[in-house]
Amino acid sequence: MKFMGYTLRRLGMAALLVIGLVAQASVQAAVTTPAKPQPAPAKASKPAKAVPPPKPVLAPPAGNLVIIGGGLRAENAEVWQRIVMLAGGKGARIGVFGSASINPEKSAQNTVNMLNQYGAQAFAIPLGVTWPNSDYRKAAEDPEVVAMIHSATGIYFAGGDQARITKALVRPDGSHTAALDAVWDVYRDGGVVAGSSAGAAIMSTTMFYDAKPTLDMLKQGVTEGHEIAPGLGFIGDDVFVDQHLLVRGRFARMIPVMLKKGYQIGLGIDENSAMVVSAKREVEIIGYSGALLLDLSAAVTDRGVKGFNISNATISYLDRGDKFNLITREFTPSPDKADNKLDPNEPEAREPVYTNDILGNNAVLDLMVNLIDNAQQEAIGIAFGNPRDATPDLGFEFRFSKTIDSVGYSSTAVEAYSVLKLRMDVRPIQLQQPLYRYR
Amino acid sequence: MRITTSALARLTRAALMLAGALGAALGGSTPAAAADKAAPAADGAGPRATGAADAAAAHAAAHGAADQPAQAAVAAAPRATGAADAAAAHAAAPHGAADQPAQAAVAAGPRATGAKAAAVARAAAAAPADAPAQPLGSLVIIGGALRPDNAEVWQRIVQLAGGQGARIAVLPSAAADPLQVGQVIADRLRAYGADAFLVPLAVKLADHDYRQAADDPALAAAVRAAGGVYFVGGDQARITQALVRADGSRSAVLDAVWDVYRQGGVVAGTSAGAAIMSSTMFYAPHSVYATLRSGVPGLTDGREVAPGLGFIGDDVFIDQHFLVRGRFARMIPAMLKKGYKYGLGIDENTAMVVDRQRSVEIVGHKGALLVDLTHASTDPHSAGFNVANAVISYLDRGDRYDLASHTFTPSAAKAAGRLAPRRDAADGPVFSPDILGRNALVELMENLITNRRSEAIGIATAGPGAQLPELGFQFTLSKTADSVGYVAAPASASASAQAQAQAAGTPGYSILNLRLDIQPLEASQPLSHRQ
Repeated sequence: MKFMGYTLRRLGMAALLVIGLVAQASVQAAVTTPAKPQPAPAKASKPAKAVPPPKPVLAPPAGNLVIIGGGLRAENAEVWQRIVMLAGGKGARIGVFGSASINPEKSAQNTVNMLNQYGAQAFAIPLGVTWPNSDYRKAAEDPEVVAMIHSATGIYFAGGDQARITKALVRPDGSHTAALDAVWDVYRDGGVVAGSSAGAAIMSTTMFYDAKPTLDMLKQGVTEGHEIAPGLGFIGDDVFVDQHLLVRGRFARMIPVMLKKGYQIGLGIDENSAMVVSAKREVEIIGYSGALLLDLSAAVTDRGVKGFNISNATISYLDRGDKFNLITREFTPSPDKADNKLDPNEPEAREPVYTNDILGNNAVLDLMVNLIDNAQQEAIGIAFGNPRDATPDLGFEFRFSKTIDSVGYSSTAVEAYSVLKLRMDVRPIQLQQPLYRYR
Repeated sequence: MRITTSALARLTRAALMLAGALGAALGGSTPAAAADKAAPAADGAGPRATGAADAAAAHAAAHGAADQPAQAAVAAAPRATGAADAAAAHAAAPHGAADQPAQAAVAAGPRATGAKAAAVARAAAAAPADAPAQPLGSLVIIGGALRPDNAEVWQRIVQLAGGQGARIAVLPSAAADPLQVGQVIADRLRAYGADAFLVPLAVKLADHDYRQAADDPALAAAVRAAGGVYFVGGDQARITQALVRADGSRSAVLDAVWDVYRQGGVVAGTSAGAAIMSSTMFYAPHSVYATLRSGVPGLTDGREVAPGLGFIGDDVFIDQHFLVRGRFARMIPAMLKKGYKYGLGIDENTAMVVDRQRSVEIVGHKGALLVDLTHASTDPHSAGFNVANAVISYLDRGDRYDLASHTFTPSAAKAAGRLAPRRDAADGPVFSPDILGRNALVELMENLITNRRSEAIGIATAGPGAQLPELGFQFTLSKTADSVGYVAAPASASASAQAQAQAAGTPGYSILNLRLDIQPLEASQPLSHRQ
């Protein structure tokens, strides 16, 4: 009975897909133009290279994404339970990919154990570049592996190196393996696709690949195939996703990538926290911390300035419990903040807001919170490297300013803030050399 | 029957304390000898105690705090034991000098130099210094911002107070809005199974004389009856103002808190409630950077620092909200000023559980920093605050540190994870442009312990437009023969596998015994200009 229902559902999906593909060909020109040129649609056709997420035209995926910023703790019940719930609740079958890990079997098993503790019936999917005694290319096309994936209502990509995930799941010519198609089927059918760390990085159409430290990427830029490469793109091609965000000051490295690849919206999720993206593309923040939202739709760069620069970017911090709609771009504060909008006429502080290390742990968030509840209109954070580096005199200034759209909320329950729509301008600076001497 | 048993136990303890204090005062007596002497005293006092307890119980019933009928009933029994305690104290020390055994012990302690003893005498509320009077209870010292869902910490408090149904007295004295905050905390403790109640004692409580409340026998009895006490956060100055009398002696309620602790209960506190745990606390300090800039001479007793309640003893300095606010840099001047060799700073949403053997266990979200100034020195001729040869360690959640033996035990997850030098380790320079930034010191420690280099540098400078913008500080971390790191992933795994284990959410590193030197620097002005 269950099997019958399942098959029917899948047939329906397939029919929808066919209609979608046919319709797509005829309406392609009329489709709302996204920020970035589209690769050809997935499935039937084989794109010349890379990134084949199906365009959500007539059949957007019915499923949910749970995009975890890494460092997900065993006791973070809210996130683990949400994954299980979105996969169908108690007893839900969740297939776990350990592919990102150098030891995929063990990595998958660890996550399987966690999910099972939270009520799922999870299992490892035997597919990974370094899976013992296995040819990953064969495994990725193996009907048995495909059937295993199809039997699940949830998929979980564990952390490690995202390059190993795409290597295992995307063919060398850039087309989907049968296993990857099956994951897409689970997502389209209404299942959940979750991923942590590397498993979060693959959620967007572009991901960091062999990334250098943030400051080096600001200094030297990013190159396709080196610092960045195609991801699996479950979230759609209009949103860039990054992870381990606040603890590692990574908001800054998102900007050069977004500019290069034409993304307007970037979402960076912090450790031990998750973004749940619904079928209606509503993003809900759950877990320990929150996410940074970058909006470059009105941003410009000055080619006359030597070095990385941007002006009029907009940065927001979405705290746990907050929601953000990717279609309407509307923000909804968590219930404990909804009635507690900060009054700009009664600022908590007046002192200048400044940091020497805007790329430090949580520094950007601390600065944003200090600014939004401050009589000051502007805050400055700078970034520079070790005085013994190759280019010790090159640094960057991050200037944050309030606009008429800037809003803050604070929680009535715990010490937490949401900060919306601060303007951010970044430009290169020259550090004094030597920076200092002993007194 | 229960009263008698517990009264006996209490008597033994009281006698032990007295004997210890007297022995220490006489100079020759070891704790063991003191214990021997104490035993007969306790026996002798036995029958008397029952009588005293009965009398006290009768008194309690007659006294009848009518506005708190429920409490009166509960309080009756323990109040009786409290009276037994007093009787025992009286019996054992007829001259009444034993009123303040803690002080006697402190004064006799090895660290009691002249100046120190004077400071302690002013504090009056300071902890017993040495083993003879070691309380039987536990401390739960929370670094602030304890989240409602941090079950590990909340459950531990309830468990140490006696488990399901344990009475916990919530002291809201530090809060600006004591009733509201106290109620929230009491509700939370109830949600975790405790029978918590609010003690209406706070400087900020309207229509209320806090001095009267602090010496109200009914309130004191209710506290004494509890298995635990919880100090909420806010301003620590309000806690000592409410609980310590103007002359520096302990109020009845503070005595009751000490009794709970001595008898085996738990004293917990978060933020301000953690600050009071040491014999010295920050009182009205300047910012971390300003404290560093003015150094030891910038700290005045009664202004930036003042006496705390000293539950942890007078040999360990405590600070809180620690890693997120870079507070190690203010702790070191305070420790130097007051002659502490050991300091423990606990991070937010995390707690140190100190048991009766003085073993410290880290529980909760993050960890604690241990500062050891045993071999530290400062150069008085330097142009600003400086210290050489301090030793710092990061104790991660699950780790233990023994304050008596100064030994470290890694969490079970890390026991096999001692880091060995490896050739695939990073070898780039290790640097932090803002060592006072959130968690920056621990990150620098992690980056150093996993790096082939032996030295890391962090700097702290004032922002543009600040006073003395050119004055800054360099913090140099270096590995010594004693430096050790632990990680949860097997030590045999590759560096990248360990990094992955970190990313996968296993506990962080534990890092022991890095040398720390701080020296003033002159920053170029302005630090930068636009290109």
